Amino acid sequence: MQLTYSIALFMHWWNGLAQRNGKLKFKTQREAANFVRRVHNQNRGPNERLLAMRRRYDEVNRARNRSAARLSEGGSTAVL
Amino acid sequence: MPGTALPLDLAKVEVLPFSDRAVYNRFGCGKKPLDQFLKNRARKAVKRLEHRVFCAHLDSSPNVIGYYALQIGSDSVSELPNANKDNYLKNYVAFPAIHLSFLAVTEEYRRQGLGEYLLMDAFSKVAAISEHAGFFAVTLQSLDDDSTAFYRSLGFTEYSENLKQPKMLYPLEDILTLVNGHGGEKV
Repeated sequence: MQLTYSIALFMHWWNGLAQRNGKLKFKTQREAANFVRRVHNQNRGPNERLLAMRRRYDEVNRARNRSAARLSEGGSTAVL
Repeated sequence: MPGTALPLDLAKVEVLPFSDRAVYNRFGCGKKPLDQFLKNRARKAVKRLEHRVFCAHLDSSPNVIGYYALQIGSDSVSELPNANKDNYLKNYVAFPAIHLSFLAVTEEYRRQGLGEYLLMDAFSKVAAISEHAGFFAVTLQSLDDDSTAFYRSLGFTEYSENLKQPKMLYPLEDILTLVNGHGGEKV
């Protein structure tokens, strides 16, 4: 009983410590590079959701540029 | 009025660097730390060059309807126990990355793609930075379960253990593929 309580107490302390420290899944820059490479290989490039987000972003920017170009043309005509 | 959704035309949104002329005190995304940073800390953080903050404005209005902040970060990693301290080339102790410190959209304009637009804008800036400095990934610390699920659905991966607000990363090479259509140079 006492042992179970001690273990629970230790685990509580240990988990609290881990929470605060925020241990990382790598210890050196080399390991970090390998970790990122693994993620990159698993992802196999940007997923469909990200690609769709990027397409929308590019479309919005193209629409904005078209609209800016029209305004600028209108301005030139007015000056002429 | 917080909570009332307003229609948003993303083509009318401008993303501009943090400026003293903008109005920040009406911003409210419903997440206290994100509101507090913009209203109380962003000005000082920008002045001290700790963060670069970019704000979304609608129709040239000074009101901020969304923002994100970037910082060049380096999560400390413990040294390799057997590292040769005299070998300058092998004493790698840091994890170089661009940290997306904050990203938020005011409540009136949520769920209309502004957050995703801001994330893509941040990725464009990250790709530009990568032409001048080396790093592995974009990192962030997720605020809550919803944001963790969102970033996970995009391919972000947790690289911390046992954190309620996990640290997550997305590889630079995938960002370059997304932005430029191809990854980093293969050596």
